[in-house]
Amino acid sequence: MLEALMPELVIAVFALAVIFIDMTLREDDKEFLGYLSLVGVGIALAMVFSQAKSLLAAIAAKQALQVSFFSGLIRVDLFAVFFKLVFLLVALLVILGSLDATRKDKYKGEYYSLILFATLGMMFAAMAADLVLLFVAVELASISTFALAAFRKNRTGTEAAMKYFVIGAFSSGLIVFGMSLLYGLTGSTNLYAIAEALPKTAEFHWVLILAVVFLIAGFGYKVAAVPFHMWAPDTYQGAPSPVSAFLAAASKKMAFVALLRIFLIALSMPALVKEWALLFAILAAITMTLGNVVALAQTNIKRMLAYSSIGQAGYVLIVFALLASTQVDLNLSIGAGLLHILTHAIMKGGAFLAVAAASYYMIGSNLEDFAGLGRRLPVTALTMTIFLLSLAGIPFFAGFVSKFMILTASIAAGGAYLILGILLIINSVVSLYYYARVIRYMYFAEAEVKREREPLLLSVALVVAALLVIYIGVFPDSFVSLSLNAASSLFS
Amino acid sequence: MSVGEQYITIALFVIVGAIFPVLTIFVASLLRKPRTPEPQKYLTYECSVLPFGPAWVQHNVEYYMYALLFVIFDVETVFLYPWAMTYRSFGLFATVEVIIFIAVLALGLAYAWKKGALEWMRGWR
Repeated sequence: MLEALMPELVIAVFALAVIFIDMTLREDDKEFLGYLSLVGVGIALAMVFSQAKSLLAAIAAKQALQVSFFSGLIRVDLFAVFFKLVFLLVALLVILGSLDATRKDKYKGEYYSLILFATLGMMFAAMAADLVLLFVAVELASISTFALAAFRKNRTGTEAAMKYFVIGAFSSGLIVFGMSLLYGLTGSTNLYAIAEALPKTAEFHWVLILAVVFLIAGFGYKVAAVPFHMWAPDTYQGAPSPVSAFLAAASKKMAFVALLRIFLIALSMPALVKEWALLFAILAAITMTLGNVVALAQTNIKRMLAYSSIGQAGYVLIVFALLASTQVDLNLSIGAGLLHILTHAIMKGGAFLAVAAASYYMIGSNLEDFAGLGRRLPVTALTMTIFLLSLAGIPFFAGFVSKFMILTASIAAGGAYLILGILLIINSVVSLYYYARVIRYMYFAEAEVKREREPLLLSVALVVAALLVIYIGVFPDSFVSLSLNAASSLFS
Repeated sequence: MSVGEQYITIALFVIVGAIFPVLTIFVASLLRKPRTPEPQKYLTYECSVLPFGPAWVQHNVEYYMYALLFVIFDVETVFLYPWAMTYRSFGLFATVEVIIFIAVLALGLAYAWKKGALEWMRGWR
């Protein structure tokens, strides 16, 4: 039991150790804390990796697929391990980048320990099979990231954190209200017990619909789906770039893991799925369309990335809509969503880190500021190009594989679901324009610039992320089967 | 008892609650006679001390630090009490867990102490 929780224990111990050692260090020595957290995340990542390996081996041998303990509170299955890999990978890249990006900032101890605590919350959210634990874990991650968004106490940073905090607290209220209604209807907070207790007939209590609406709205804020998205551009633009990377690549994915667990386990009776799948279909359609169309008009790169992140969340929401279809294999559609969550985490995190690398040389985040970046910071510009092409869904990059999988699932579903697939294609074409515009500025715009030495650790983070993007794009087999297995482990 | 009967208590509470203030004010007005208006009667009543100064006093915002620290100890009490009650049945395992729990909370207190949250009015000096 304890060995299944070892990665979390490691992260918790390192988070506490960072804040403790922070008290004993002089301001100049605090960079050490970043390396310490890097080690912690590295150890946890290695542990989760071996967990994934042994779970995959167990699946291949058709053995028991998951460990469940604390009277069903926590469930370690491949689904949870998949998300823990995503969170830890993003945390690793962000900490690696932050070592350079926050070199001149104060409060390093707080910064790194908050990142570790947020990661801890996300990891528990991935494993939670109980509404209360899920809520506490989501709140641990949210509260840590509220403080991270305000890390630099300037005007934009404070505005970003304020908006994020108010909206985040409000959405948490909606979520907990929805959860309390579910508890009131079923008398249990365990997701599997709720699924047992809910009636299997097509007649619902209106309170159940209300609970579904509250949960979708609350988590809709957290994933920045369209009617609930207005905080995201301001927050991602105002927060320091590594924090934006962490928010877009990890924090948002945590909301997806919670949505998947609640809706696929607790609210999974077929008659009810039809109801919420329609809601998700509408959300997906407007989210991807509005996110991509508004991104066209942005002149600030961080804002543009924020809107693109909204659009990409729309692609993942398609998966929820597909669950009502009987034509498509459940594992295919969920696996497509999982793979897109993984690839989007890497490429969007990488893109924000590239902006962080540029701001290391006081280069702003407006489009014109990036003019001539290809000659000034060649590694940053090249990796940024890879991330942007991957986000647009160009073949041989990771984004293509996961988008293709979502498209395959929606075509297999057929009928009205084809509309969502067609919207996905149209939006990808639209998005290519604003991604390519950044590339054009970086390489083809006239600018008087000279080559500069790029920050080493940030470049390492960028190159690792870019290599992963290419690797997934060229050899997608193992990642596709990993996400398919993760999807199927949810139900076994 | 049927569902309707269960709610009779609540209904009674609502009715009595609505009548009570009206009734007391009415009885008080009977006792208050004769009317002798004096300026002291219109002063703000504050524990029999004569009010002084304007009402728009600024409170020190540093109170919130103490509120935050209070939460640490509040949470500690909430979790220590059930542990103390079941100490005999859980034994050493629970004791070790509680020590870890207190250590984490103590770390929070030490952090606040180090950052000067326990110094009153440090912004003013």
